[in-house]
Amino acid sequence: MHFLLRRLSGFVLTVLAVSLLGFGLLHLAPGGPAELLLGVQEATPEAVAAINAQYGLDKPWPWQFVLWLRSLLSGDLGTSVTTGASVNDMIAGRIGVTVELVVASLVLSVVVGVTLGAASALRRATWLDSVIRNVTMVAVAVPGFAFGLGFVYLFGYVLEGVFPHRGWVPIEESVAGNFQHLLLPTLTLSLPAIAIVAKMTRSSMLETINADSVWYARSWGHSPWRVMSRFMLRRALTPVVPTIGLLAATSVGGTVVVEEIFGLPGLGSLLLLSLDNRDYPAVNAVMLIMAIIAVGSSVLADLVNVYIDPRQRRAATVRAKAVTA
Amino acid sequence: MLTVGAVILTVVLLLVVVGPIVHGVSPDKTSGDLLVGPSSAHIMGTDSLGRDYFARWLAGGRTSLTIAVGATILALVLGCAFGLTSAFVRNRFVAGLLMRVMDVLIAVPTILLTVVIAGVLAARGGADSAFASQLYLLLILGVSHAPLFARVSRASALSELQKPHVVASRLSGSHGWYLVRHSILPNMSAPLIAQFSFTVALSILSASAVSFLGFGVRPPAADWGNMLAESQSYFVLGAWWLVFFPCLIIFLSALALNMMGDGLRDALDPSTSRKTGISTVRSV
Repeated sequence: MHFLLRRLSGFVLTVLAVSLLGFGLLHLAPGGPAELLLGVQEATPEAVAAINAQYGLDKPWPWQFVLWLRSLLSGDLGTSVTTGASVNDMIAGRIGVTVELVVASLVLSVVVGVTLGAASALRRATWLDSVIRNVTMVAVAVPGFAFGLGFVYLFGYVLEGVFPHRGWVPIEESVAGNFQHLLLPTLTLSLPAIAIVAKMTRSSMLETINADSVWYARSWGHSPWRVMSRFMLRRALTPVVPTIGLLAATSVGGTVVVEEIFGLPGLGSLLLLSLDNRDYPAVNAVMLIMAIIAVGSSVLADLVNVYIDPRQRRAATVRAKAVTA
Repeated sequence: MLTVGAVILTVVLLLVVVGPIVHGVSPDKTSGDLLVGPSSAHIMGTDSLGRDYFARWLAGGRTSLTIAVGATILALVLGCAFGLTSAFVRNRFVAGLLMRVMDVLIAVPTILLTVVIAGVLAARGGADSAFASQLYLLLILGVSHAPLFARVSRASALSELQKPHVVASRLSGSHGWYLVRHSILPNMSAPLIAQFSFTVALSILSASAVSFLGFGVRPPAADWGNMLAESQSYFVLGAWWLVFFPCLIIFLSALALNMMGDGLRDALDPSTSRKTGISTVRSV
């Protein structure tokens, strides 16, 4: 329980630090939303001041941060400076796309990556192993957007009209349509991740193959499948799980690129749009949510790890103590 | 593996360093041949303004590689400063705090951080010139990749501190910078060199992703990432060369650097072969 509390407090502090960083950065930039909103001719000092006062942008930024936190506690992310719409609504309309993308690509990379890595380790020094090793080594170096651009070229030019390569269909509208529009972005996001997971799983599986516990489990008469899943994979996954947590954080950043390539209406495209418009409340909200997803998945990875290998609890607590002591 | 990586990297470096001199065509010179495919006149075709794509590709390589290497050097210096300080400081609170700062940086997606900072700097008018935009990209990537070096340097400094030769050196009165310089740094160079190689690869990938989104190197300066961004609307009309060649060279450089990193790590210090698995994690 102590462990859980420590991890959660670390999570909250980290997310707050990221928000504060984003807040401070944004308010370093002069030429705020008011000038952009009014245009060059109408941006008289009085009009700018009026808009700034309306959105509370005339106060010093640390005070704005406090006000923002206070409204955050009541679940209000603010009002968009550009459109006047509620940021809550803007986020609510888009978060589904990004979350679906991140979850789908994580599931795909873990399932395929662990399978490939385990297969490669179990069949080490065979043709299968060398194929998997070489393919993963190459795939790690391919820039994520290269897969995406390749898909767009393939289905947007060579095989035009065969498969949707742009836009989005919400799952409430059509499950099949949603799946079709999800497939290419998910593959783009997960292909490099699959390679990384497979590479790590392979090397950590290889360490367990000659472990005494595995040797004894085999001589005890456990079936090969049980030896593999209970005695090898479980042990081999401990170093892989934190990597998966970090990969989740990376995919959150990757969605910005993927949403741009495939024209998806998610949080990443909202971030780019709001940065262009100097829509500070929206940028702050997107940063907050992306930080929550990214940091949250690291914390989740630690918790999963404690479940897989209870010895990690002590290690994690000692680490947490070194920080908070 | 080390050899293959070194050969590819040498070819890439030769192309980028010597290529523009040998090729002799200006990357900024426009012509009437718009969007012409690869031919004997233009090996890699031309872009939408009729510029020779091969010349831009070579010039872009100089920009991309300079930014990647510069950012990695910055990350190395910052990361080692953080990592070594937190390994040496007696106060556990300070040591923990330093690594917490690094944890925050590692938890925030690089792309998110870079795009927001670059967006703000652009708003400030600071990134008006192409040179300023390159400098900013270098600085931002350097800071956001520093945690990779902080973790490696802290871990190896802590394990070095336990070793008899370091204990002996401390008993004979050495401390502080002298101890770091003479007993610790020489012994942690192996993981750091491998990490350096991985991080340059990672920086090439991140820099091109940020430029691709329009927040990195500003045109007219060429960079592998912004070449991709400029070609996005043309290549769905069939101009495959606009995307293929930048992607190919990004891939080859990253592959070569990753192979060299793996090879160097095994060659320099077989015992640490799996410690730095984290290094290749944050690819874009």
